[in-house]
Amino acid sequence: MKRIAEMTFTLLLLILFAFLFVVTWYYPYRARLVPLIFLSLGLVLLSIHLFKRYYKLDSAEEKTEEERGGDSEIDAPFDQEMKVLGWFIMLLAVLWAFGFLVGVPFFFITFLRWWAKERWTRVLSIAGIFTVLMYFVVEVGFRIILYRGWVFD
Amino acid sequence: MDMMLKGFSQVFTPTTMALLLCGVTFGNIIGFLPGLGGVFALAILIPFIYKMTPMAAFAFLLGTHAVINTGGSITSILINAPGEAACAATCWDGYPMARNGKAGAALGAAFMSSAMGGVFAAFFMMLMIPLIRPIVMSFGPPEIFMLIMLGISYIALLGSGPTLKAVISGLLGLMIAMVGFDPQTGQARYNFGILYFYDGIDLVSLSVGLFAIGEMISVATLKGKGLAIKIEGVGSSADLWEGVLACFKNWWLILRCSCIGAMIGVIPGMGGTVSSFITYGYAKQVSKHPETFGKGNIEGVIAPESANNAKEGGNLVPTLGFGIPGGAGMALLLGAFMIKGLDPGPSMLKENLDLVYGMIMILALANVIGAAQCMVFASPLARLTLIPGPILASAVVILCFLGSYGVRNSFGDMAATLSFGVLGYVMVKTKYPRAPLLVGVVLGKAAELNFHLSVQLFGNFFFFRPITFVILILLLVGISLPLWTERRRKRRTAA
Repeated sequence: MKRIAEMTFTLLLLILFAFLFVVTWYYPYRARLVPLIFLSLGLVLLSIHLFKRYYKLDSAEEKTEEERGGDSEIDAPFDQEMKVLGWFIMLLAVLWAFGFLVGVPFFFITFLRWWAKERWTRVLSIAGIFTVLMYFVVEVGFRIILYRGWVFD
Repeated sequence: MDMMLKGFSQVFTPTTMALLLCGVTFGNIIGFLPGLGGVFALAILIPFIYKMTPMAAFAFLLGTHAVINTGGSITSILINAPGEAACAATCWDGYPMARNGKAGAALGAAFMSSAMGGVFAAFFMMLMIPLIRPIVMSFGPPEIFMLIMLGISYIALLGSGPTLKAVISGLLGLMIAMVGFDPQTGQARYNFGILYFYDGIDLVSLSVGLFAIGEMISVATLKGKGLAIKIEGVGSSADLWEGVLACFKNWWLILRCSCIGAMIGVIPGMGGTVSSFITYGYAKQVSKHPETFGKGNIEGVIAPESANNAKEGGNLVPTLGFGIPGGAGMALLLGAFMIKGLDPGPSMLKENLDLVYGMIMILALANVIGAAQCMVFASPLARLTLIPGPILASAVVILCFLGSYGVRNSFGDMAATLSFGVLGYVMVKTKYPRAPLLVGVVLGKAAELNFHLSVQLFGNFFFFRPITFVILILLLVGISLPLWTERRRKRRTAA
């Protein structure tokens, strides 16, 4: 499964690089020279990598490195992570619609209550404290006007 | 000397000192939390430096980055889970010491050796500046272009993760840097008719998304539990002092390991993990009791801890001197320089030498303050690892969105942050290292500019200039050496 996911991502990168190569070709000479060098190199390396992965030509060292490699230490279930990603997308949508001052407490309450199953007292106190702190630190302290959202702007 | 005093005096102002204290505290907290590292901490903090003076901004950022490993040692010793990858070697003897009821001594030794290593790194940096200054001043566009290529390839080749993927990741970063107007011709590139892309990709949105959001997707799944499950007792203050005294007894070991750490830090891509493992091995070799290593020998804690803090000083040498980041954290620091309108490299050592000396002082102070904080607050702060994942993740994600929005007051930056978060998550899952991508983005524009300048000034064969040619040779050796070693190993295995 991991191998397929990795090959799919590599293939997507290969398609992206090929697409950018075509796009770059139509730029003036000086604007396309350096990107074309990088893209050509990228296309070659991606092809080699994909070929090696498809025919399972990785060396023992590479395989060990694959097992060990990467830079995250938490190995969470995929479906759970997708749900969390859904929550983060929802946060962005809520922020776009209602801005920070409404979106942030709304997200805290919904996410911590329904996703994390935290107690109401804890949820409400975290949402309240964070929103008040955010307002005073960012808007009053740093003088950054917080985004008010599509509805209130 | 004047510049040195000027730089030091800028550090000792109330604002700078307060921000240094905030940075160190934040760095220690992030260091405690397994899985969240220095790059993550810097990515979150960078959006907040816009309204600070350069010195205050670097006190804030460097203060955070310098002490990450100090905080990371607590979880290595108490729960056998390194807060930072560079602290992994500390687990080997730190955790057995904790299991033997000597957690306090191990922690005291870790904090003190970290502080000593960090202070040594500051001295190392101070000694290096007069040495590298004339070399850096003689560099022109061809040398800088080749150095950028050398830096990117070394970070890809020597960093964590598979080499081929690291190079691909670096190239992807270089291509992301090409988005926006070409500085040479004014040609808009890769905007696809979307207005947001005309200004190029914002570095803050990219770094915050890539490192913080990507990580938080996994952290948020830890429902009802923190990054650690249970922690061992810290021990009494007498135990802590026992460890501190052990550092003074082993001062010669600390000096040697700090020196190794600082030297390793100078090489781009050679991170703290490498330095701590090498010094652990070295300490075992030179120890009078090598058989006790892995069973709770205090030298096994002292050696890696002093080296991984000393590495930061070494890392600053290529970053400040040549504008080539020593690693992902330094790439972000380089991005912060750009945000503050500074240009690391020859002009930095010429026009902002006071700032460089100020940063050295910040590095030394941060390490001392960080160690002192850990000594006092080790026990309560270690409990932060028990904060449930969703609470931590939701607060961090909102901070990320706030930070990326604050840069240009643009909702597009928040959307970019989430998009890069998804990219970061996919890269983690498919084991594509993220650090080379970041380095590519930071150095991409400079690489292109210096390439064109080199061709204009010296023609197509600019790489045959003496220094450029030497760097080219180093680049080729750097690329071919790991491949050759692998081939040899393969042949040996086949035989």
